[in-house]
Amino acid sequence: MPPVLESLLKIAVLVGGLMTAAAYLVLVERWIAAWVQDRLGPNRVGVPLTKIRLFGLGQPVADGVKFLTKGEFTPGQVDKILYFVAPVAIFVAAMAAFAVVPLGSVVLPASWGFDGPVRLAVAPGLDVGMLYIFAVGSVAVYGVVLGGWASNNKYSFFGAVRSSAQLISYELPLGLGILGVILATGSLRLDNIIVEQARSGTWNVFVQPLGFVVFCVAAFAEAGRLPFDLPEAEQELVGGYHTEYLGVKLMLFMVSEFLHMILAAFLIVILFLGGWHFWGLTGSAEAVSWPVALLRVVVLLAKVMGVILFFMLARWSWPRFRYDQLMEVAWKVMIPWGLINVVVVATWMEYGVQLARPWNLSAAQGMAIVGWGVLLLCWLATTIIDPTASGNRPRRDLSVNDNCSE
Amino acid sequence: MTNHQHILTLAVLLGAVGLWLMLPRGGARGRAVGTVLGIVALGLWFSQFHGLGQWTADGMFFVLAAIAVVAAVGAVTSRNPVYCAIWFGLSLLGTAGLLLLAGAQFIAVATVLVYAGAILVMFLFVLMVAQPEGKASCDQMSWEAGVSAAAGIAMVGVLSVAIGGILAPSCPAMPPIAPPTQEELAAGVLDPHQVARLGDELFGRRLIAVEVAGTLLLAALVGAAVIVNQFSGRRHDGQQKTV
Amino acid sequence: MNFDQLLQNVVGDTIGPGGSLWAFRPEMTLCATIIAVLLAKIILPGWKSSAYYITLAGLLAACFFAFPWSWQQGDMPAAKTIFTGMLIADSFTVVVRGLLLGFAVLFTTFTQMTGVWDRDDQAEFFVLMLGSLVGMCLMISANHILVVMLGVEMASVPCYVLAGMKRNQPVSSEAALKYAVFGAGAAGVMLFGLSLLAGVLGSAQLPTMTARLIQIIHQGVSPDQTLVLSLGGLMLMVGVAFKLSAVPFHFWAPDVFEGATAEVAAFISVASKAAALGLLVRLVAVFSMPSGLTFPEGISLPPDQLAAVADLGAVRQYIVAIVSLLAAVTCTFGNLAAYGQTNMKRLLAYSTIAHAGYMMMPVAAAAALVGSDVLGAREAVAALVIYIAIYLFMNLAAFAIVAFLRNATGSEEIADYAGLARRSPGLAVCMAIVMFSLVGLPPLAGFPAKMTVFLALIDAKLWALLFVGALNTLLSLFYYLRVVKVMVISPEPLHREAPTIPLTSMVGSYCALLTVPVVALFFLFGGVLYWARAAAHTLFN
Repeated sequence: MPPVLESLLKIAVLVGGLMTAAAYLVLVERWIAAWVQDRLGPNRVGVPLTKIRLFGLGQPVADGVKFLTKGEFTPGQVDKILYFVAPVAIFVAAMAAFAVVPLGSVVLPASWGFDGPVRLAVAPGLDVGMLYIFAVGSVAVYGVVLGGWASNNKYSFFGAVRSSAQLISYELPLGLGILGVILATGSLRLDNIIVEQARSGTWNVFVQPLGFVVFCVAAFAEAGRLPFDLPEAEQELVGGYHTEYLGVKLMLFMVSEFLHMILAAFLIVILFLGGWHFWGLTGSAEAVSWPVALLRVVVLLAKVMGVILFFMLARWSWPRFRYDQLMEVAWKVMIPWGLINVVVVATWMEYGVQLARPWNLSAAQGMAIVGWGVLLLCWLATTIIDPTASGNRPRRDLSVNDNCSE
Repeated sequence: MTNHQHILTLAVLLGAVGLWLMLPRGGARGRAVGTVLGIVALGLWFSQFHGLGQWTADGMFFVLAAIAVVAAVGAVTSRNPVYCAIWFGLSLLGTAGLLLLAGAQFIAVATVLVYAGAILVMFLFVLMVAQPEGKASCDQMSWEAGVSAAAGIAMVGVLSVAIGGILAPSCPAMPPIAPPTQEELAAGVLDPHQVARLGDELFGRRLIAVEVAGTLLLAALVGAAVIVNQFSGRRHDGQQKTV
Repeated sequence: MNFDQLLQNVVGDTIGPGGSLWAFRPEMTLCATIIAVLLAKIILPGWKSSAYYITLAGLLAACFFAFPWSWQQGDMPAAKTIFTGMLIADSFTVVVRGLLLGFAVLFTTFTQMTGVWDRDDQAEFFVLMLGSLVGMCLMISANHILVVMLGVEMASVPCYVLAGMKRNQPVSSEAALKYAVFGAGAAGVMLFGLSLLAGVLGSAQLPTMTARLIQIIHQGVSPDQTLVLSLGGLMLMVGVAFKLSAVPFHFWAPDVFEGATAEVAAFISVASKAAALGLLVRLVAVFSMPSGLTFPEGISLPPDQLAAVADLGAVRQYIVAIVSLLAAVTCTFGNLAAYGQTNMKRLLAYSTIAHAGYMMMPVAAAAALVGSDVLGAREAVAALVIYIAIYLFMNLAAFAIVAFLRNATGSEEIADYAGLARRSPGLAVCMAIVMFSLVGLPPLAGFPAKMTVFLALIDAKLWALLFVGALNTLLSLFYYLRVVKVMVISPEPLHREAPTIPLTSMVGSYCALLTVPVVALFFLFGGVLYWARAAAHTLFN
């Protein structure tokens, strides 16, 4: 198969799959919301013109049709060009990040015209995969910022400003969380990271729990999910940066949001939860025959679905942070934790074997003990020092009484 | 003077005039004419490059180069600072694409990550917070439009003539840069452990530079803290005065 | 690759005397001091002057490490590259670094005495000063364009902040912003120039670049290459000229000097300039003379060293042309512009610009001499080192007096110095001595400094430059004299008295302490000459 055709095929599958997934995840989210709030949720829309309801599985299609057929209305006060660019930018960036997400490798029969294993990723040759995701993810900020600015609306603007500060702040803990994994693997390639975990049979979450926590929290914030959804906090900012949007453009924003969440889930699974690996099921060779490859894809997607469900449950379980708390969590808790994690992992990579030997432990076992111990210590230290508590005291400089007494 | 040089000189002149017309000079007109001239100049320029002999690579190169150049022109000619920043970001994306095409994966991604991802977002943040209207009178004007257009285009001209290799056949004294052999390609661009080797180089032979850069950032961080403190101190003073 | 291998690869020769880190101890001490100052502010908030004492201790330790204890009379260690060829450690590094560190010690005490910094700002101020100092040390020992660039940036960035560190003063903020914007622009141009040079020469290490340059010239250089190379060299010079505040890249200097405090102005005027000159000497030395240290393999070179030296003749001519032109213009412009100034700091700013011109002259002489007479070239560099050493005391003393008078009167206008000779004669005498020395009158240290520079010019047969230098000395006489005139002759205004600062006070004695070398170095010139010759000893070999 010619490489161009192969790439196009992969892209088609990826885009189709992701769009469908995003649409149905909306439904899942609404179901879960309903379940948490003890309601029924959407369960009516089924096959049109019949009485078949199918538990509401037709809902996403109906939603899509509604979005597409809505009148395209452009508010008068907006910056026309950037108003159109913003949703496109955020959607393109969200989609492009998936180019390096690997689903494994498969050996296909040579009679089909493949020489060598086929790697199930759009751009498998990129040696800087992890950094690429970072770079593309950072471009996604533009969609939010420009959308908010171009709308020329106070609430949109607040959303944009909040979002740019939040995303920049949380990029640091995100990177620090990944750094430990990259140190342990010695590669920036996502498929290498999975293979390494499969080979050792130890998922990174077991040995680097601190990095996992830091990365998860930062990923939540980067995806803009509750409790970090300040850019679009609907109770205060109407809808944040997309207040002024409707129709297809609003749909692009919504879909991008879900794509960000899916990407975050993929990354958590790949970096910390072993990717397609499951003990006794999937083996650890890099390229395998198609039934095993299929099984791996299923395992990977199941894990991803699990993480997404966690995302959704978290949304309905925690209240939103206040803005200063959000920043303090990033700068005073997550970044120090991430730094500690990097130092611990680096030290263990260098001296772990010597340190573990006297206790008859393997390096991984030792690392796991150290990792969980450090997590515990960090948690204890943070609760005792409580660096975020300062924001809860009344601010003296804003207090009316103080000013009068001066 | 060869034919090449004639065309290049023409391109340089057209480019300079076009850029001058496009730059915001108070209420002066001529942006449309400038744009046309700029496009013509760009076309002339591109017509003089040697292709790589592979239509996909050539096409990619020209598209990315055009994005980078056009966006760069946009960045200096826009009247709205937010647009300037966006054009600049686009130019960076084009440059990153060119770097990727040349096989420098890490630099390409780092360009996007550092410039487009962090610095430009910071720019946008500051622009939006500092002037929500985005229309200060000082942003509507380009200082020394003529000189800057001439200097910029002259620089581009000199570089593309001298090291761009446009005239390579006519000047045999250029240092012989042979196209890389398959082995060199495999060892360099196609090497699957590119980043690891870059890291080895950076933290091996260039370690002192990395450490110095770290110290520089520390000093800059302290400096930033000083500036912030200064302004917050000023605000407190102001408050006390009003009370 | 694990950590041990990394260490082995990087600093195989690290530990012990003769290793890379060993030669780098002063800079490491400075870095450690930075950390210590910052930590002390967090850990010991009760100790208000912690920053000052720690900085002083760190600087003294750095001085101790920087002092060449092992040098014997007439026997210098040969130049050697450290950190895989990124830096060069030779006697020039050692001496100029020693000067910078010595200046920093004096400067630290000076700022503590004027007490301009709030207790809150003190730690940051010293951290920035130390950071800038590390950058300057790197500039003078640069052997790789990465280090050139990082050194320049590291020396500049803290200075931008220092220039703006004056609370509630819009002038100060404006000066800092101007400085930062121009500085960033100049650094950008310089980086572009460096990348052009590196691109054409196919290397980033300075001696290797020279080797490639010789090779290209030996094979016959094409016009295109000449164009790019000279453009690159010119752009590189823009960056250096900005740091030197050489005309036409001087316009930041008067505004920054006026906007910043006198203390910061002293720092920028002396340390920053000395480092820039050190960098200039490094660049000139490396591009005008094949060092013979690190010729890479596989480059076909001319038959012998002599032929290689001859090949670089055109490069040297180019350097001489640029540097002498800059020097002449800078010198003349600085002196002429100083006439109209009424603010003492602006006057000193233009004086600084003029002196930058004088100090570039021996560099031009060295570049002109190096092809024919290496010893003469070393003498020229020695003249520069002498000038830097003496200029250090003169300018620090001038700025110290300005700062102390500002503390006493709140003014930096020359007119407000009227009557100073009556009220505080000691201080006025110090100021007068410094002013006369800045002109270059005997029997003050400024005289032999200028004399050696002119001798180097004569040696290099740069007659035009010599004429410009001599003419400028004459020009400068009058505006320096004007300051003295105001202090001594002008009537004291009725409504206001000049401050009374006796020499026996702490402040007065500090000024006297700084003025003593300005006189004494004239008589102890032999010692200065010895160290300066030692500094130049390992260059151009």
